[in-house]
Amino acid sequence: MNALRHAARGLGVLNAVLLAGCRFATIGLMVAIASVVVAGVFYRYALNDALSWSEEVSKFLMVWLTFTGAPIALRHGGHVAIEILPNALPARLRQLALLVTFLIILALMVVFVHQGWVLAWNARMQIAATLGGGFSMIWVFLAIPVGGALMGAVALELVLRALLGIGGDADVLAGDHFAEPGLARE
Amino acid sequence: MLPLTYFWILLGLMAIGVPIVFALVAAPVAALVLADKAMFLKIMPQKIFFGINQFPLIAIPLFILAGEIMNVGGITERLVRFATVLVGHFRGGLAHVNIVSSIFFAGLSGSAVADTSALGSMLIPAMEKQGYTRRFAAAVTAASSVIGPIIPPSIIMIVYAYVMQVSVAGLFLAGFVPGVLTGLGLMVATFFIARRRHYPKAERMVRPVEMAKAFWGALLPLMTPVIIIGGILSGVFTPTEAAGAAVLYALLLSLFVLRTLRFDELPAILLRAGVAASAILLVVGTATVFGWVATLSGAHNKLAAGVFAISDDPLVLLFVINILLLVVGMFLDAGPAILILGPILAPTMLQLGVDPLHFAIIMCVNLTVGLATPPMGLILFVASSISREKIEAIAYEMLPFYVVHLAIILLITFVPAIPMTLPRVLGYA
Repeated sequence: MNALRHAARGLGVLNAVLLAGCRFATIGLMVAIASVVVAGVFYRYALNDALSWSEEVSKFLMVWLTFTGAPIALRHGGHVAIEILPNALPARLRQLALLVTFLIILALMVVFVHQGWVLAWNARMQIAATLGGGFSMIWVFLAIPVGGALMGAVALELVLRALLGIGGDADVLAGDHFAEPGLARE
Repeated sequence: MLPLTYFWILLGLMAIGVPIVFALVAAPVAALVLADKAMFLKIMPQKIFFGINQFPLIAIPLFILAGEIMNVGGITERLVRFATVLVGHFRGGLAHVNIVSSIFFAGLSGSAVADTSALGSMLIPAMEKQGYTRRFAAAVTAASSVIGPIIPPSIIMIVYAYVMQVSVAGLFLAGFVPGVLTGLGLMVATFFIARRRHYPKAERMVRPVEMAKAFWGALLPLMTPVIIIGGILSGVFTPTEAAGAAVLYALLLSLFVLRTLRFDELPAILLRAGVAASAILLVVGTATVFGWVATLSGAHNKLAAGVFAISDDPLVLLFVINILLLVVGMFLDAGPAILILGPILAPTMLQLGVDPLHFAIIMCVNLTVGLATPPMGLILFVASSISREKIEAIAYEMLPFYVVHLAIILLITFVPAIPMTLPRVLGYA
């Protein structure tokens, strides 16, 4: 039990750092996407010289945005779930349902990392169509295994916390995982 | 052909509380492993990637961002002030103001939840101070927030247009009249409620000077939908570029012209918009995996056969589908519901001669209403957390408003001219 507590706390610290990175990246990516799209319009109309790369770049940035934002949403209950049944259960069983849920997410993320990596590695010789300099598609596809690993780390922490909760630790889900459904407001 | 195992696994996962975004991909993955077809797993990340890597979808983060920028204090206040000079003197004035503000706000933001939180946090306390019950205030806010994704821009419509390959501009246009009608219908219901409960009204009409002032204050924010729709219709912008223009306009307006936003507030807004967008985009990606497995299993044909067994009269089927969508909307968020059901239902209805755009608007409006219905409704959750009233209490107060919502759904289903005239006149249908 003590070891579990230590593991949960340690992973919590690690995830705090990882998620801070995700926040930073998400803000940067939003700025970049908006800038690239606006620049694309500006170049076409004001300078009469359409940017060949703006569409592709903004798409790639959006793929990364998906996988830097999703771990934050996972940590703060921003992914919508239907909780009618779990909420109707007695406390212990609800903890169990949470545990199973997080275990399923964790297992899924293992598949994301594995298959995502295979995809990215196989695409290392592919070149992005409109970007110069032989930009390899591996940098784009990597978003999936990286995002999977980040979500996996969050899911593992949530698994440990759910285990502690079943063991009787009261404040373990202090982050109140599904506090505000659908809202990732922090 | 796969058996329908994946579908039952999906239902099971959602029932125990697995977030829908993960259930949509965990179910097909589990089904593939169970069917000993694990070698197909490598297709999974490709489907997710190509589901997300689409230019039309970039409009989603951008419209959310534009809405969040407009959402900060000052601009919402200006819209509310303008609505107040228009309808504040009716009996139940603030309830009408709430509804009209929702119509205005709908043109700036594409999501109902943004509408609920922006207007609710401002108007619910104000209404309570004037003697309305808090649960009624929350109910009006929630009921009118439904207008948000019906009047363009609309995140839900962008998702639908992308998945089903209909025109975003056409769908945006189809939403205008139903959105305004919803507002008017809610005002009629409010009129009767206010009279029976003797809700307060302002003593006097506003003077023309005040009216002009309030109009002037709201004019620039209210130009946003004009820029978006005008830009798309005139062919200047693609919808994605229009979303970029909306972000730029919102920024210039709130940072420099109206000064309702400070630079140091930007990172939090960008983060909130980015995380909200990522949650939707990931659903689009994982729903692509689900859709792929659904196609492999021949679900469409099975469903089509089942549907045609009920009737082959499109009107009867539209009625049945509306009921199905209402039930689904009670449990599922609008985005996933569109992603799961759209590709299954739409082809069947199109075979029967229903216009693709008409079916699109029916589905979007119906599932948007679902956001405000218990037991699962994001708008209700937000209204409840702002007002600290129980969801059941708010939902009970909403009963007359649900009648309005239902009437609108039936109207746009059986009087196609209501949604379809605008897109037809402008050549989109």
